[in-house]
Amino acid sequence: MNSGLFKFLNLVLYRANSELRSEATRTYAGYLWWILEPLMSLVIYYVAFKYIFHRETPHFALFLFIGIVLYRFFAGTVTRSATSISGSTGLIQLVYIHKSIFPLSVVMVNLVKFMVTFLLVLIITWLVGIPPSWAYLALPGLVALILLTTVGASMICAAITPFFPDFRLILDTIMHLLVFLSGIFFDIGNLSPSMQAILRLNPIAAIIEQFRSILLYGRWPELKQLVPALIISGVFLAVGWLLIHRFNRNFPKIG
Amino acid sequence: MKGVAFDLKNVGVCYRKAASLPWKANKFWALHDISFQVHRGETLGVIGRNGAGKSTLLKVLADIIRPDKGSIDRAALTVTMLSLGAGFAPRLTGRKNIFLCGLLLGMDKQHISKRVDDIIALADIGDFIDEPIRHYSSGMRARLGFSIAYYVNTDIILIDEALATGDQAFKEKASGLIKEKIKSDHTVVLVTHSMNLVKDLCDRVIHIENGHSLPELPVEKSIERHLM
Repeated sequence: MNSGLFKFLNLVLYRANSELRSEATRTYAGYLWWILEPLMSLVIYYVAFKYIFHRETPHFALFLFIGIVLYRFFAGTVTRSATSISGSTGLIQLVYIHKSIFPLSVVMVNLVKFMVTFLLVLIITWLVGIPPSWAYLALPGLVALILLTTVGASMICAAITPFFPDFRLILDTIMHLLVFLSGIFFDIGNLSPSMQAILRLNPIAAIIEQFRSILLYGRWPELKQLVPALIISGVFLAVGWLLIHRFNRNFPKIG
Repeated sequence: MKGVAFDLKNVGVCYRKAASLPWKANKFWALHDISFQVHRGETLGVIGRNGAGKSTLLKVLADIIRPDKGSIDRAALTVTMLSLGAGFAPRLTGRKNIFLCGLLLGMDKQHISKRVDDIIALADIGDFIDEPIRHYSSGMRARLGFSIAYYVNTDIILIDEALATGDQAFKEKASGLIKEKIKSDHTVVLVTHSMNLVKDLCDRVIHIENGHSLPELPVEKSIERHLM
């Protein structure tokens, strides 16, 4: 059993590693795209909200960038995972591997990219003159939380698409909606209390909010506001794992 | 006989079409009723027309899919379907693909590291091993795939017409190696259209028609029935 788990992890890591290398050879700028892509969406949001809507949030660029980096990690991973099993029909007909390997490799790929861009977030934070604080000690916990939420959602979506291919398109719409419901370009804390409570049911919104309060204001996260996110990520994980495990040997039969 | 490797009873497998409406007929039974046993150490041939369900049967044996009816009992043995170049990443070097493909076939990393030079030697692709495999000819790719599969350590080997790879010289070398493996005490299930191969290599033969296994006959008789 132990050697089985070891092989499983090895395969996830090796697949992720291969994917990262292959991807880099597909473009001229290669690994540079890991930071160019989020920076480009930062520019778009910044121009739109600073110069068209005249947003006056302090450190607005950094405020935006934190939201963008976290949202992109979640949305990018889930969207790619959704087609990870359905896009591997050839392979899963030939060898038996546990199908959770497909979304998990996508998560690993994007986790590496996320870590790099997150480092960039920290550097920018220090460059604009906000010093590190003890609250940084809570960052690994928050990263773990968004990681678990992403793993759960990715496994659910990966399990649905093979049976229901239209889901991929529906998911695009959901992710688009999530841009507006996650407080990427506004502060949830400024809304009416009932609206705040509703938006914090979205784990991504709650997590982005706490990341900002740590990085921008040096405040410890407010656990109470993370409770829905914790519960939902737990549910996602359980449902995602059960779905993939239940249909593990059914996926190769769908054609 | 050293015990039973597989025991299939009335196995049926049903495929579903994706994106079909639930109230439309979207089921297709590839296997209806298959019963046979595979004993340890023997070489079993599987014959039948195209579309009879031979490949589906191999997938059931490889535990890639589960039967929708009937049952299969399996001994606690490792089973590998010899699939050539499963999961190759075209932008990575041959060397990296040896690891990727080896891990997919269930080898562990140390075993691959130990075998990597043998694999490269058998594939006979020289310096190209450190080039991305999208620059390979299809023959080179097939040779690399075969060489990786050849070094998988497994109790039971499932072969789906995998003997035909690469150019004539390599084909002969490959089928020689496969025959050696088959003649050793490995348990082998061989799906093939070549009756000569069946006559040469198989201890027993299963004949499948339209998803049903026909009553078992001795190898010679079974081939006659198939050719009728």
